[in-house]
This record gives sequence, C-alpha cells and structure tokens, in this order.
Amino acid sequence: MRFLAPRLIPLGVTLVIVQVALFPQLRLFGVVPDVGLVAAVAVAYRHGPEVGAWFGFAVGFGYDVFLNTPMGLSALAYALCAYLVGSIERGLLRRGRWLPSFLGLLAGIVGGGCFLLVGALAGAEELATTEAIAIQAKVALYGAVVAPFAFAVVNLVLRDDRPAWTLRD
Amino acid sequence: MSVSGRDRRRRYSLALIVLTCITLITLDRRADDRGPLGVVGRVAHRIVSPISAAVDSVFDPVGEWLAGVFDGGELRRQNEALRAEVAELQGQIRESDRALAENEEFRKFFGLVWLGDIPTVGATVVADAPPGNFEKTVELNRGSEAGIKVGYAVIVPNGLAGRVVEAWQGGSKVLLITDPTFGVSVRLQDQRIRGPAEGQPGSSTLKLNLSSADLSREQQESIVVGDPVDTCGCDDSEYPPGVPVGSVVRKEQQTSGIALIVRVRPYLDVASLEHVVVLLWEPGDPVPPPPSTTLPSIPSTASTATTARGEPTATVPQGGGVGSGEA
Repeated sequence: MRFLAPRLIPLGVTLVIVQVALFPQLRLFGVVPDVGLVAAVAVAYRHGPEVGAWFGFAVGFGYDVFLNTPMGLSALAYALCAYLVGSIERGLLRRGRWLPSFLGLLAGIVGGGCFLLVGALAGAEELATTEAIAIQAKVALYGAVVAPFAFAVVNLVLRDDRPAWTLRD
Repeated sequence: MSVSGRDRRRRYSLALIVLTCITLITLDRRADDRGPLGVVGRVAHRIVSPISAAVDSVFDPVGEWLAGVFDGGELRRQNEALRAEVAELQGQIRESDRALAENEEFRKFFGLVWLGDIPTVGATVVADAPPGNFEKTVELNRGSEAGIKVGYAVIVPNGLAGRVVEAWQGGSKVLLITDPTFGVSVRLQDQRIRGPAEGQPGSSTLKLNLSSADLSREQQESIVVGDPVDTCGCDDSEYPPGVPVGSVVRKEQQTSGIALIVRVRPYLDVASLEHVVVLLWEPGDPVPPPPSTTLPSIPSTASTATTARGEPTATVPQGGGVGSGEA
C-alpha cells in the first residue's frame, strides 16, 4: 500500500473538496452524490478490500467533517462498502462497461443503507424516516451516473506505471 | 479451514476501522461541537470555505441550468399552482395594502421592535447549498472574527432564520429553522401559551407539543390557523424572547387526548435568503426593553400604544421580552 499512498492521499483530499464545494451546486433530483463512496469502491475494485476500506474511511471522515450527521458515519459506510466490493470483486464473472454504474448503484444502496441504519441507531432521528430512504435511493441513482467518471479518474490516477519488480503490492 | 495471513490482516484492518468509526460516532454525539472533533471541523471549514464560495459563484448558473433540465415537469406543476395562488393573492393584496401602510407607519417609529438593543452583526449568505443530503444549512461570510459564536440566533427581517452551529475565522454555518433537527421554545403570541417546537423529518413545519391538561378548553379552541408564534425566551432558551418564528397552519388533537399538536410554518423564505443578521446574544444576557414605550400621536384607530405586532407596550416590565407585553 505504501506505493499507493502518494497517489491516494491527493486523490482523497481532492475528492473531499470536490464533494463539499462543487457537487452541492450540481444537484440532480435535489441530492448530492456520494462521490467519495463511488471512488472508494473503485479503489477497492482495483486494489482489493483492505486498500479500499482504508481509502473509504479516510474520504468518508473528510466528508463527515462538513456534515451535521454524526462524525464517523460516512467513514464507516464508505469503508464497509468498499470492503464488500473489494471482497466480491474476484467472484465477478462478467465485467462489462456497465460494471462501474452497477457498482456505483450497489454502493449507493449498501453504503446508504448502512449510513441510515447506523445513523438512526446513533440517535439521528432525521435518518430514520421514509424521506431519508427516498433521498438515499436518489443518491444511489446519481452515484450510478457518476460512477463511470469516478472509475475512470481512479484508474487514471492509480494506473500502474511502476517498474515491474515493484508490482508485488 | 485455515485463514491465510493476508485475509487475517484484512479482517484486522476492517475491525480496526469499524471500532474507530464507532468511537468517533460516540465521541461526536457526546461532545457535540466542543471537543477535538469540533476543532477539526472548524479548521477544515476555514480551509475549504473560500474554495467553496468561489466554486459556488462559478457553478451556480450550471446548477440552476441542471435543475431546470431535470426538474422541468415539477417546475411546470409548480408554475400552475403558483398562477392559481397569485390569482387568489391578488384579491388579498388590496386589503393587505391598507394594513401594510399602517404597519409601515409603525415601523418608522420602532424599526424591528422585537430586536430591541441587542447587538447584531450583518452577514451575507455565501453558500446556500448544504454539502449533505440530510441537513438544511447555509454558510455566512462572517464568523468568529466578528464575534459570532455557536448557538447565536440568526434572523431575517420577518423573523427567526436559524442558529449558528459552527463558527470559524471568516465564516459560520447556520442550521436553518426548516431543518428537521431544529428546536426552539416558542409562545403563541395571542394566547400566551408556551411550548417546545421541533423540526419534523420530511416536513418544513415545526411541531409544537402542548399538554392538553395544562390548557383550558377555551385556550385550546382559541388557537386558530394564522396565529402568530414567536420565541418565548423562557428559562435557558437559546433565543431572546419575542423573535417572530412563524404562524399556525394546523392544529391536531392526539387520539389519546393528552397532547395538542400545533403545526407552525416558519416565516423564513429559504429561497430568497441572502442577507441575515446574527444576534450577539447568549442565554442569560439582559434583554433590553423596546426602544420606546410611548408612541407619539399617530393617526390610528388604536387607542393604546402597540408594537408592530399589535402587542401592548405600556406594560412591558424591565428585563421582560423584547417587544413583549407578557408579565
């Protein structure tokens, strides 16, 4: 993972800034997409569950700093979701062009569900409502839309141009 | 069944992450905004706030265009509903004009009576799009450098807008009155009934819970749609008394008969929120009386001096509510 850190850290910081500064202006259906979640899933898909989970935790924590929901909630949801996707990645039989969108949607549903469930358990009553579920469904759909772009960016940033002898990570 | 070292490491990592998150969530819920996590938030806001404001100004037209493209059907429906509303309102305007003219006269003498002499700081909304999907917040261009602290009330000319939930050098974050987690102690102006009003998930109204046992039948029946509601300033309320909050839109008697629920629609118009005033007032600070308790002779039908809201001011006790005639 140490070879990835110099790329993952700037990527994570940029994602958080884009998430809190740019995407609130680009709402679709009135919601902001979980770009960090989709990116964490993309990282997990490419580099496995452990790297994905740590990246998801870091990006989610960065996002949490700007939210009124309990600190650590997005971090937990992103990390768990990335770990899940990283774990099932090897079992995928088909890898078509639709895969990023599918994983973005899946991440939105699983990560969003985790966010709402843990948030409600932590006492955030506004997350235990049907309206919150509807919002999260829209977020998942928007996540599916931005997923191909997020996967492309992650692939671009994390592309393997290291010498062959270092590719053990 | 053996578990490889790599798998074990992954599970340890996951367990560590989950434990860290649970610890963070617990700390955050207990420490509110005062702990180390609050400091992290303030620092992050200070760094990102200028970027956010710049992006906001650049991408605002793009966002509006996107909203127009994707919400076209909804906009049409809203347009039709608004046309019907405009027709109805035009009829009311003539009647309102007369009342407004009289109100304007009073304003010349009192300004915002309910504001009293409380020190204030003017601020502009620099980011009106909250970063998350489950909150209704805005960011202001003034923060701790202007004396703004967490908990201060934020107002617009027609009443309460929200309260400051984060303040840093150069900016602050305001939780709007329409947020489901917002809460305020209020008073039904006409009936002098007090109670806690809370935001409601999925609704832009506040829910005022009243105990039927504490109210006479006459009091309960006297609450009608349109009744004004303001802050009561009672006990250790975070807001000074007498700040307009909204008006009653519905009254519901719970089936148990124990509670009377009054729905209050805030006066705040979020869509046109641009400039606000932050009240530099903390619970326990003295609440100055209205600037004047006697009116010069104004040609009016009222025989006694009244505030802009029609409350008597001649009986205002020292240290009582701003613009309030309540004993």
